[in-house]
Amino acid sequence: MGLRDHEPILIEEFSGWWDRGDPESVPSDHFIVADNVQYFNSGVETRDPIDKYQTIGTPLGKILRFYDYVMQSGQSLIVLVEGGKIYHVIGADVMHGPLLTIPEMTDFGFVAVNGRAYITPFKTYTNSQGKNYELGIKNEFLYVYKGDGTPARKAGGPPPTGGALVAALDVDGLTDIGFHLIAVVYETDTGYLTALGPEVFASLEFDGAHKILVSNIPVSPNAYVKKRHLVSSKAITNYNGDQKGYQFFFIPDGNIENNVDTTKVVQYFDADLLSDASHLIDNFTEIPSGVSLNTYHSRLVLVGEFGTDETLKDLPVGITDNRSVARVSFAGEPEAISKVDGLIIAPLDGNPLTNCQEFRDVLYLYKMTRTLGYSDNNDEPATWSEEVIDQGVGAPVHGVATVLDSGGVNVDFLLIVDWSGLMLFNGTYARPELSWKIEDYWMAQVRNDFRYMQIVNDSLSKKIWITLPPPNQHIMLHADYGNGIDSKNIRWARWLFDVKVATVALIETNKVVLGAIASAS
Amino acid sequence: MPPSNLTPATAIDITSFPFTVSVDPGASGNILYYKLTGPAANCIVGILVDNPLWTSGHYLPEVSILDSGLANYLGGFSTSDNALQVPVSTGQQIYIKIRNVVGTYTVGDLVNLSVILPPNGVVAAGNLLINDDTNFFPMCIIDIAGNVVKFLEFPAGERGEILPSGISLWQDRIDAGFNPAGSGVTGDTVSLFNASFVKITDISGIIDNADVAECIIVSNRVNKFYVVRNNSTSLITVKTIDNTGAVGVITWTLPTNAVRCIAACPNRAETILYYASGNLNQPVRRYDLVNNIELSTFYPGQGVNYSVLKDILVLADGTIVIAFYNNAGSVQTTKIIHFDSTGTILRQWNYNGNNGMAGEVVNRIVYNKDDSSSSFWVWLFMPINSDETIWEFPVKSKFLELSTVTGAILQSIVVQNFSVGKSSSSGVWDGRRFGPSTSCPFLLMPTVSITPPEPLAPDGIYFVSPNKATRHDSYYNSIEKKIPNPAIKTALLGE
Repeated sequence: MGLRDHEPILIEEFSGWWDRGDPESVPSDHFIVADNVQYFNSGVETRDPIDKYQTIGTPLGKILRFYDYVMQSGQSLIVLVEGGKIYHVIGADVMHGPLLTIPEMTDFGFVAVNGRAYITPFKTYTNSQGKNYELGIKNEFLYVYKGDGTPARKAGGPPPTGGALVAALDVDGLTDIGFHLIAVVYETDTGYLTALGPEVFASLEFDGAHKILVSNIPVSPNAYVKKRHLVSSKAITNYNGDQKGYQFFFIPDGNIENNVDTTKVVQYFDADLLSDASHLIDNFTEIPSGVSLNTYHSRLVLVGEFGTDETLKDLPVGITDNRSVARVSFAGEPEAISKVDGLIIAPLDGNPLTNCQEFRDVLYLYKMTRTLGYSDNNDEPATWSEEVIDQGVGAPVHGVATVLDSGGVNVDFLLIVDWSGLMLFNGTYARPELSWKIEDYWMAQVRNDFRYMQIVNDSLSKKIWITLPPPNQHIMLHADYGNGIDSKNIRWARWLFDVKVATVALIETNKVVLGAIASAS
Repeated sequence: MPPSNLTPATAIDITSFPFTVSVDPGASGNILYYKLTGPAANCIVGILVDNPLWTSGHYLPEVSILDSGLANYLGGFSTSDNALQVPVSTGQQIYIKIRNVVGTYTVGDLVNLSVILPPNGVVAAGNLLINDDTNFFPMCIIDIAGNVVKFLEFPAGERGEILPSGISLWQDRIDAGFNPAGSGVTGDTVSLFNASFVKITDISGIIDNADVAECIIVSNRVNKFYVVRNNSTSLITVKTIDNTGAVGVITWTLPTNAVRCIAACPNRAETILYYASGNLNQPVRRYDLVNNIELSTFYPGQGVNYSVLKDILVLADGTIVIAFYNNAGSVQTTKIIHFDSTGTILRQWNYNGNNGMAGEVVNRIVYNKDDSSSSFWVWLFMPINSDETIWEFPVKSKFLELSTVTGAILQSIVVQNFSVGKSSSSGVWDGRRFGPSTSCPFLLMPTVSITPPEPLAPDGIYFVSPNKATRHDSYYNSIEKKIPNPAIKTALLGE
């Protein structure tokens, strides 16, 4: 049969890479190989090249992880390199750090709140069956970095300590009559309000005719304490000696705008005590580290905690860590997390929480194969109702796509990396999964190492990049959903590099930044 | 504010090259620490420190190198103003320690530190190959302009030979390959390498570290090496190894009058082996390789106090070049004599040194790149330290191509020597931060095509650059790579 007997095949659209089933089953408008190419309109071309990001004399190497850090003054990268060191990279020629060094840290979670960076160190553990899982490092904590080049410090802070606080009647003034307790709260440079102190609160029988002189006010040894506040109980009848058993309120005009003065004169009526400070007593002074950070209803959410000596006390038999605990802060106070009721306990199925994400007013918590939803009921997080969204689909620690340079994820859908494929979530998981065309390749990835998979979504140019686990770290998956974000219209390709790409982020709107851990060979 | 890197624990990590820094040391007793991890595709780094304001009485920075365990590296490097070249394998960590050796810190004193990578060029025919006989130091390759082309991780040894095909055989005195981080296990073997200097095989049983003197490695200049061994029993034996590593079945035993044989070479027909003892006033002898008997003496010797140097060259036309030296008294006399095949002198070149203070003396001679009879190369040592013997620590080396036809110098280059990694000149001579060792094997790269391995792309932060003018991937260390094999393929149409 001559060539003239062949029916010509017209390919009007290049529909991308297909790796599913036998090569003979590949549709004619798809490719059995699509390496280092990108798609435009109906065409295909060689991918864009990469270039060096840093121009300074000593650029960072051995990159393990980075995130887009949106500061008040612009965008930057928070970068973890081998050795457990975190740096702050601002553009091509400015770098601060190391801001934080924790040799055990091989990965970290991050969220920016009000221009401040919250950093949680974590690492990979392996159970007796050889299964890898990620948890915060035991006895490590959440850190906060102000973005100014100064070292990161533990979020939160210790309460006032020292000698007993003293209260005495001062000059003529007006107060309610009765027995009152007075204590002190520190305020840090990140706005965190510590628990009440010192160890012995001041107590005084107000006579109603004098102002109150508070003295021996503790001074913090930590330079990050910028202010102090006096708090007081209302009049107590039949005081039982349990100074923390009463409700405390911020005293109007009880602020001390420095960390120097040791006396303060106040006068107030009980009716003036409106702003409750009692919850501060139960807050963490040091917040246990986890694997993932995010925000929900202006609260900080932290999941994947191993625990600390403090939080690991008195656990039930058979439970050795807090892998199913999510910590949730008070609204607007990202470092104020109650030890008592600022938590959510996901189902204790032995699998750790891996990720957290707000979407359409619901907080979603993920395990590797579970998706759970929680709704804020305007009460404490421990009371929030739980809904099991999907018991077959979950996300690894970097498996929820971030969008553009926002550091957030919302473009009316979520992209979730799951063992079964790249999932589109719009309240439910849409099937077939977006990676349906390349299912064979997706399934060939090492499931035990899905922690290496990180995804970013350039919603502007409608492109997706995904890093891959070893031994494919020199490859990134690239997808173009310009023709539609569904399993049929998405167009896939592989991008190969001469380096092993460990992390990816979008910065300056939609500049794709890659972090390389090593040479590819 | 004092520098932050005053302890090994706070050492500043050097992660890219070139690295330069100028630091106020702050106090006389302050010691500065830096560290680096051996970069990919390089086996040596160049290090230099100085205080640009130094005069007597100021902070005089001295640099020394520590291994990852903070012990002195490779027996100890230290210098206050000489350029260093420090071998370091990819991924190996070393520390750079800078301290004040004399003087007192004065406000304004600075420590300038420069750490650079060597050139990493393409090896070409006619390049000079100078291997090191000090464990862990790499081979240095120089072009005929005297510039370092690159360094190669290579086993240390005294002897080597390269065939016109580029296949080479080398003594490996530690039998552990090149591995500064390794144990340095003592051994002695010979190793065969291909034309890209990738090891083909180690060949055991040819030499031994109990031998009374170093071996000799020469060739028939086609496809076969001859290894002369000075056995511990004082027997001198000769074996062949072909260019695949196969050991010949014949073992020749030379007469004991050639004890501590220093030089040898077969004629091109492989019927006669010319050889000489390294002792004083010894003749150049001949041995019948076919009938396995000693022949008449080729040359009776140069006279009292003269010895044969390490090389005998049998040129393609059958003529023979031998170097001699006389190290008696304050004047070192060296000479190169060109003989015909009967032992008649055709030409002679004399090079004399004056107790190391002046002049030039012969170290090694070698075939030219084309293996033609029209010329050969000689390695001369130039003025040396007055308190050293002539073959230790010469400051510079001169390499000459000498015409056997006219006796004229055809090419001449001068390089800075580095002895055990340390420049033999104070400061930096002529900008030379890298150079060859003073010892020992010297060969010329024959006319074969060598493709060096591509440098590896380093880790770091990169970005996708849609508007980049060149459509290559650009990596740190000025490495440009083509986008790897962009391809689409359909099941029906093929690529």
